[in-house]
Amino acid sequence: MSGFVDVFSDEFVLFSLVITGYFVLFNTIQLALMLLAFLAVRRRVRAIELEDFREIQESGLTPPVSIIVPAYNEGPMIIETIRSLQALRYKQLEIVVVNDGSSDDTLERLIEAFGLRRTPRVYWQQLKCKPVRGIYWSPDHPRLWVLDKTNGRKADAVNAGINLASAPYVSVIDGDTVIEDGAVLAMMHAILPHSRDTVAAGGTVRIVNGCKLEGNQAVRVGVPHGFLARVQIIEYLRAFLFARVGWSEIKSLMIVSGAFGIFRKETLVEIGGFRHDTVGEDMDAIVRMHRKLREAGRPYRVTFVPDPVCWTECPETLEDLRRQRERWHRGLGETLEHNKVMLGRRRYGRIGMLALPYYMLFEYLGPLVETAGWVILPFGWALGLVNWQLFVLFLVASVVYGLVLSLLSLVLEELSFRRYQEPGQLARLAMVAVLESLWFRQLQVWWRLVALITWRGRAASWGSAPRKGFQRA
Amino acid sequence: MVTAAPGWEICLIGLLLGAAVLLIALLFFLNHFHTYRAHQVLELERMLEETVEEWAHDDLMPDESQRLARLRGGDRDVLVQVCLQMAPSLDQRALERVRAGLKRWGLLDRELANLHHPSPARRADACLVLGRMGWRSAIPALIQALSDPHPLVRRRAIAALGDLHAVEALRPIVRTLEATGSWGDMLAIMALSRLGAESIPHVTALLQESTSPAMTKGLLQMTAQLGRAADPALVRDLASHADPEVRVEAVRALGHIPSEPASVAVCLSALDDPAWPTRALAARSLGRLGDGSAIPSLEKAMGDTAYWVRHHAGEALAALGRSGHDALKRRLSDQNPFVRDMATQMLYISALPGEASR
Repeated sequence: MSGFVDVFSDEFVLFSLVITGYFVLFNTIQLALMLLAFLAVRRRVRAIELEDFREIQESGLTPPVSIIVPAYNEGPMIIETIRSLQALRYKQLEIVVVNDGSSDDTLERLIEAFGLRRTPRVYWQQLKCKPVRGIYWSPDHPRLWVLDKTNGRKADAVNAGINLASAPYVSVIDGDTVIEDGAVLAMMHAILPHSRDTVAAGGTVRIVNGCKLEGNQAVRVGVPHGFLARVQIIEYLRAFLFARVGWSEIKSLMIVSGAFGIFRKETLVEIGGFRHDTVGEDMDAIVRMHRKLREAGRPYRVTFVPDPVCWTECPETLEDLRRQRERWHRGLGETLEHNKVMLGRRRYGRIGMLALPYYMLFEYLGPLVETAGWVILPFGWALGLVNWQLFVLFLVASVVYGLVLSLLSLVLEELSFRRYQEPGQLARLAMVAVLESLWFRQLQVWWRLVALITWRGRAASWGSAPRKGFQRA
Repeated sequence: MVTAAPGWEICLIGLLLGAAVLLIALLFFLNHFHTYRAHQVLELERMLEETVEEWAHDDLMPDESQRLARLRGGDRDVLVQVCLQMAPSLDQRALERVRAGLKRWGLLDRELANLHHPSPARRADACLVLGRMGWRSAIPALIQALSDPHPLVRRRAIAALGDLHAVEALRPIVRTLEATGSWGDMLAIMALSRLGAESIPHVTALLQESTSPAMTKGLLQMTAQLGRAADPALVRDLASHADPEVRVEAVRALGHIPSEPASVAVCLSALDDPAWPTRALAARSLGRLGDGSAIPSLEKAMGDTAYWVRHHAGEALAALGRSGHDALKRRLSDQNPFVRDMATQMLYISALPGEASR
């Protein structure tokens, strides 16, 4: 054994230093993004504090927006979702529901609830999609269209909706999300000063589990009971709110969430709509927008607006969460593969030189490096190949630094939006942040590693998680 | 074996754990402070609403000085915010009295000084307060604020000058928008339109002078918002401008200003424009102008290749009353499925479902 130690100890030490350096670099990038995001969020919050959105609501210059709701077996939720969209504060809003060949009674419920009838509407099919079986409409709800088509997965459903949408801006949302009353208005407030250049804008997605909604507003923002739902609150704050604002600040935003985003229809059509052969169609569309517009040398803007909020239900069982994370990782892999030509190319500016390499190295291949660290370093320490100081350094870089970032995201939330106002809620979230660093992150790394190794051989699906539904007043 | 110097790792772990503990303490301290401050502001708002009510009704209380003298920094901001919240519900005289109250307590002068504050957010808020409180003495300072380096401050200064109906500021505003390339900022155009009817002759004069398509487009958008043009013939001429975006805005504006036979003729000819947005807006404007002579051309436009042209042509016919509806009904048997489809929809939307289902 001592011979083995003598032969490999230096390599082990080098390996430990590389892995530790990797964690330090990753967490430092996260820290920098969070600090950048914090400044941007404060600026935005301050800018809209006294803003009167009624002017945008009432002006004839405000462009119409079509909201596309792809629905697959959304029977129990769909009516509530549509009614909440109809109540949104935005004058020129069109709602296009796409029933993607649901096997439940989604279409029947819609027809009954809104008194729809089949209409002979014809439209220009700019994007390819599966055959449309019928279009439904009612004079009582002239802004609501329901398109019934054969099943083709989410991207196909969204493309069908884009074909039918008549507004220059389309907003794509998930069937189970609730958009806050003024969210579209706030999003357009951020878009209008740059309306010529803005091709996509994302809003904040927050966890609805544990909250109480009245109409489209969360009247009581709560912390859910289960650890898994709680930990996702921290994750959404850290990764989906502050990190995305940070990327947006350095003009390198690569994701506008499929749960809530606004896109310029013309640009979506130009890139051929959402891809059917990926589960990460939202990220893929944004990357292709960057690619197309940079190749054409046209000025454009992809931005993240932190104040418009949509609420979504998160998975609460390990199995559902695992499936979701594997799907996300697969989506990331597919996007990187489809757009590998951009990687490291100066022609694509910060996207090619900064954002894509980051996503490749830290997000996609990250599980390989992290798993190697978590398996080999304790093993090396136990065998005496690595001294305990290096092992401690690894733990500090991976666990404690990560914990500090999670706590910092809570502090930034308190300093900006203050959605979680009770000290008890913050205590529970801080506790979860500690526990997250000790085992949940490592579990996620494992899930992502499995996805990284196995995604190529698997068929994609709609991939919706079972929902418990949320509390409405 | 490589070994690291002992001791440093303990320092590092201690440092980061210390940071974690500090962050937790900071989190709870901030939460406590914010909750305390929110409660305090709520109380203060209630008290200050009474004060502003008293100002508005010229019913000054003897203890006003005592109450307001206690206000410090942030609390004074609350008073200004309460005034802003209440301003839309006040009539002109009440607003004047509230303004006088703010002036008495030096708050308008403070906002005026804030136009030079290092923070752009402070400068932007100062513009907003001065405009919404209708303090015309601030106009020169607000015109100066148009050259602020921050776009938010410039936009708020435009809005404030609009709220003050400072027509004399129109030229400096236009110069600013032109110099900063901000004609695409729709929020700035909306803010500019607050200048109101008095600005109409000035807008027309600027349209005559304009050599930049972006500026012409912005001024036409403003004309549409204002609903009047001092020289409609000029707007009509611009409907044949070389830039398609200018043509779109010209035909849009024609639909918003009072109808004249010559405007109808221009919109009819714009239905043959090579750019579909111009044709679509021409159809929409014909519906707004309400001239029955446009019906045959609108019927033809319902067969346009662009969805939006068909849509607006159908909507225009539906808006033209009985004869428009008759035209839509005729189109239900059109050979072109696009025309039949749009006619059906428009008859539905214009509340004639019985006719549509025939």
